[in-house]
Amino acid sequence: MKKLLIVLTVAIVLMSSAAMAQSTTTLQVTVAAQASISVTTGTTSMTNSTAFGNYSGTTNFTYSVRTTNTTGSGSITMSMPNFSQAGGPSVTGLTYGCSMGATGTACSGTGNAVSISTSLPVATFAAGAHATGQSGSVTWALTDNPSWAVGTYTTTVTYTISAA
Amino acid sequence: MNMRKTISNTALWILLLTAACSAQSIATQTQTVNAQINAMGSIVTVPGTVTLTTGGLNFQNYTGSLSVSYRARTTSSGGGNLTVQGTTEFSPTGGPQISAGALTYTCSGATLGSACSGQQTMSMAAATNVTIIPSSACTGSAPCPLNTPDPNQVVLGLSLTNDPAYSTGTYSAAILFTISAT
Repeated sequence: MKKLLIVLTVAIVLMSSAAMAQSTTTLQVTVAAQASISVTTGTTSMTNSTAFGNYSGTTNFTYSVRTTNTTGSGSITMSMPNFSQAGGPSVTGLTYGCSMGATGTACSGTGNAVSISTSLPVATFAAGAHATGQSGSVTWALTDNPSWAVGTYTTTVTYTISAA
Repeated sequence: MNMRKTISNTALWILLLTAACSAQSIATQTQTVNAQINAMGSIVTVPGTVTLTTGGLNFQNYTGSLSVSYRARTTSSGGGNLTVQGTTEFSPTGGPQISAGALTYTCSGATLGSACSGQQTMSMAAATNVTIIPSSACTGSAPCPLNTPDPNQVVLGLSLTNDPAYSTGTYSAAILFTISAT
């Protein structure tokens, strides 16, 4: 019989050599046409400075927009119901004009008519439009009428910006 | 006569067997086996592609997250780190740029080491930390006293600016994770 005794000595050596490994990830993002608008005038108070003179006021807003190159477009529109109080003016008596920043084409003229709860053009954007926080405004005018009852007449204007 | 011969043969065999037994020896042989356990780090998995998305119309940042799984072992005097770096800019051109600081990330949930703190800006020029791995680190259960998951994980929350100046389209960029250990 032969007996063999094997003694295994395991020496664990902690080496100080550096090790490195790498791996790559691809990030993908789809940038779409997008737009935002913020009305910065909390309430537009229309005032007149002379007896039975026209009431006027200005609503300011800022907007950002990105439209698709070549084929894209965009717009800012607004709509409003009639004044909530009877005995006074109708919003159909209002006229408006528009002003835009460097990007966008404002509605033309200052005497644009208002229809009740109808989408009214404020501005349009061409393809490839890019704007960040630009300023625009709508200037309102209302011809006074002595037949109106004294009071405060209010309507809420909703601004919509779109981009494609 | 025959009986005597048989007995005589038997006696001879016994003698031979006795001689063989007396020649038995015990041999001892020593063999040394070395297992060289090095400091080591490996990235087990990262997602091949991460899609960043946004919601709403307010130019909110594009966001996404990814989990990096890794293993690491460091010496008592060593350490390591897991880093990330942009390797190719978003392409095609006209979109976000990593080199302009458009891509940031946060780190959370590192199961081994310390995840980066706060918002980090991804760089094309240099690797930035995701996780700092301490000395005497190991991965897994006993004999690893840290009893960590195997593999370890850390989650990156990615955020990409949504600038109106970007042209519409789909953009891709590559980021590189590197783990090192000593």
